[in-house]
Amino acid sequence: MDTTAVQQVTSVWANVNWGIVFAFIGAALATTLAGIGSATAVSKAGQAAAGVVTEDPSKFGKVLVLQLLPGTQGIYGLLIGFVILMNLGVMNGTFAQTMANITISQGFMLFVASLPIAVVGWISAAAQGKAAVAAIALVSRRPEEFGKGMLFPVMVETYAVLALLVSFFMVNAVQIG
Amino acid sequence: MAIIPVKKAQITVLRKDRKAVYAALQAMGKVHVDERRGEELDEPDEAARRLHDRAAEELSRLEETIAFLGKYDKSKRKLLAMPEAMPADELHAAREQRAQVWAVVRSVKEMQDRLSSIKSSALRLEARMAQITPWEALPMKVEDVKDTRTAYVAAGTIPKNQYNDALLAADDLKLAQIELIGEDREAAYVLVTAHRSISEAFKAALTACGFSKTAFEGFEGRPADLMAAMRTEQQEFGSLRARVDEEGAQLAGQLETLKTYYDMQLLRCQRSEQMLKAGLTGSTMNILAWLRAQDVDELEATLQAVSPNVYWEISDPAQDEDAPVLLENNPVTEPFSAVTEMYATPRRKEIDPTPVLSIFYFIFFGMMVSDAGYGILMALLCGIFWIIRKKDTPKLIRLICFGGVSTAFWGAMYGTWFGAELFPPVWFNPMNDPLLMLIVCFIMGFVHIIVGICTKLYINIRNGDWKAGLMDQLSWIVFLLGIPCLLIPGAKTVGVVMLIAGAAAIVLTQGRENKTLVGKFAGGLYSLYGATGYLGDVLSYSRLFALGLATGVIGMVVNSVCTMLNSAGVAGRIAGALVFLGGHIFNLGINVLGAYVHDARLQFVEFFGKFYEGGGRAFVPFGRRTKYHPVAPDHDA
Repeated sequence: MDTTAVQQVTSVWANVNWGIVFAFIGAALATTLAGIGSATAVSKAGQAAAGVVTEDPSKFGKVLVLQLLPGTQGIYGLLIGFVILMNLGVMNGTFAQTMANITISQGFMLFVASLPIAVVGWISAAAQGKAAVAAIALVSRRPEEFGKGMLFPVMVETYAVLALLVSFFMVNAVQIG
Repeated sequence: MAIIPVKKAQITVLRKDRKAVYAALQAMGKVHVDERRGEELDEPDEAARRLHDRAAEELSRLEETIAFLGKYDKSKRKLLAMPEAMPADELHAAREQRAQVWAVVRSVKEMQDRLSSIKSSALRLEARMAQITPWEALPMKVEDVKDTRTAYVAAGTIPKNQYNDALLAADDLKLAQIELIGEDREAAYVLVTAHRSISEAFKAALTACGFSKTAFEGFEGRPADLMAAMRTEQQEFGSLRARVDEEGAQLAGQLETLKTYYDMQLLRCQRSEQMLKAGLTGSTMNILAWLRAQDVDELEATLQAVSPNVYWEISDPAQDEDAPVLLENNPVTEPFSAVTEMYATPRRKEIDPTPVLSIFYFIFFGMMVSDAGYGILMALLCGIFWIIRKKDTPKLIRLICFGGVSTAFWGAMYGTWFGAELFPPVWFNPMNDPLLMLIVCFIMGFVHIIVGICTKLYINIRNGDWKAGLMDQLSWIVFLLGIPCLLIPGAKTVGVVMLIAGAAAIVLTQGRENKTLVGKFAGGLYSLYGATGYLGDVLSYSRLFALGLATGVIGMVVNSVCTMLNSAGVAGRIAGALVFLGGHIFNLGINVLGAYVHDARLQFVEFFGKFYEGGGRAFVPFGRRTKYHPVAPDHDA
């Protein structure tokens, strides 16, 4: 490689707005990982629920509620993704200004801020899905115990809520301007 | 609002009067009939058992018939219309229709049989047609596809990718021919002919090309004719099916009769089910029943009216007797009893947690959905439903109606209207001051928990257990209330005193079960460690924050997508309107579900954990529980 090419590459590399890139990776991770977790978990619970409805269609309402329980993590991920984008001014048209002002460490902070809900959202959704499947089995045999069956998957969600909390306050702490 | 005390009734009737007695009890609809556990049960009530089994079997056949005919029912039901109430004697008169009803049931059974035989014949026919379809262009009868004196003749398939090889092979052999009759995705359907002299070589070449002979077993005649015949047959099946549909539509006119008969039979089944619970002697039966004190006179009058040979005894249940628990709620707390019931019916000696629960359930629901637009929508829709259906409204609908009111309140507080800030917030905007919102949630949770402990204190005092109330609950209340006092500037000293006093009380009293002095002290210290549990409980209320924020943020996402679409011409506006509608309906649905579930969790785990166990049997009055028509109350009663 001749020197001009090397110079070109380095200059392109140097011109990347790393702050924005890291912030975007954060928004993407929060939405994607938590979404993946919720989608797989809701799918598993849905399969169990469909099995129960084959036997007894009247249980549809109950098992539907249980199926949807592990879906919240995806929403929490979206929430953090959206708050990061809002922080960057993507929604209100001040994005160009942000591009100029953001520092690499600010971008990196936003990236790190997305990690709690991205990782915990993903794993807790998968775990909650398992509890939801078990709860659906419980309701298929003892529909009167629906209230208790609902409780078991909801217990798992506490940790996603805690992660969301930390992610949210970390994102909020970053002030670009 | 509370657990209503019940009376115990032991009723003895002559066995010959039992049908009349149970009919009267059912019409009264105010007693809970219980399993009679006594020595009399040695002799099972065979007659009642037979009656019950027969009725149950008839019900299942009727159900099947009604479901089948329901598909043909053209009469439109209004969305919110209530089925008309039917006087009891009219329902009772349905037994006259027995012959007619069973004629319908039998013809439906016959129709179902006919349909399934049509279906299986049609399937067989379809398979046969699939066999012949590719051969439709074969110009000869299928039975004539065989060797002649001088030639080898066969029909069969060659995989498509080897068809050209087969043609080349035939060309090479000169006196052989491959004629393409038809084809499908995988294979060519061919008629092959060759002179006898080269037939063996040709066969070998064909085999090499994957030729597989078709036998046409079970077919005779030209394929075109065969197909025509089978198509007519198929049409016949179609018209047979149409005949069944026609008959079904005709019989669907009788659906009302069937449903009335079903209800009548259902009531009979319920009566025999209750009869099975009674204890039998040679010629009498003993019924164990429970009822409210104010219904005793009515029960006595009812029984007397049935027969002079009835003996009864009314008493209060013994302290430890397992009486069913009857709850009474006012119209405001009643919807919230669904939440309590979802967990467990209270025991006799507990209090009904519904009234306290309803206050917090109401507040938390609104904090979680927290969008004034959604709240008004929910309250309006469910409210209209409630006004139309009145007492018939499911508890869930009423619950959401109340939840809507609370949601509208909190939405206005936070200034969220359909995801946008249409009006300035009455209190504050959570997006601008999330920390304040989190603190509000924790304070709410703290209050909730303290109320839970206070309720336990109340229960202990009411049950005369002053000692446990003071030591187990009051010490904690003092300790926990000391924490917020620390944060209030002027009350710091008070807080410190409360904390120390509370902690001391906890350490000194909580180990009292242990035998040694050291054990008592260690037990008390360990109990103080339970403060971390309360910390975890309060943290759990951050879900109020998370779910509340999620509603607003998703609403904002929907709105900003709409704004972007709106700037893109007419098509964009239409798409924007659709996104707006769909997005907000989705957001509303998912958040109401989330609020319903998480609110219940806060009640069950954080709140009930402090004072409520549950596990009682619910009082279920033996009454006229029909499926299609509610029964109008008797006039003379």
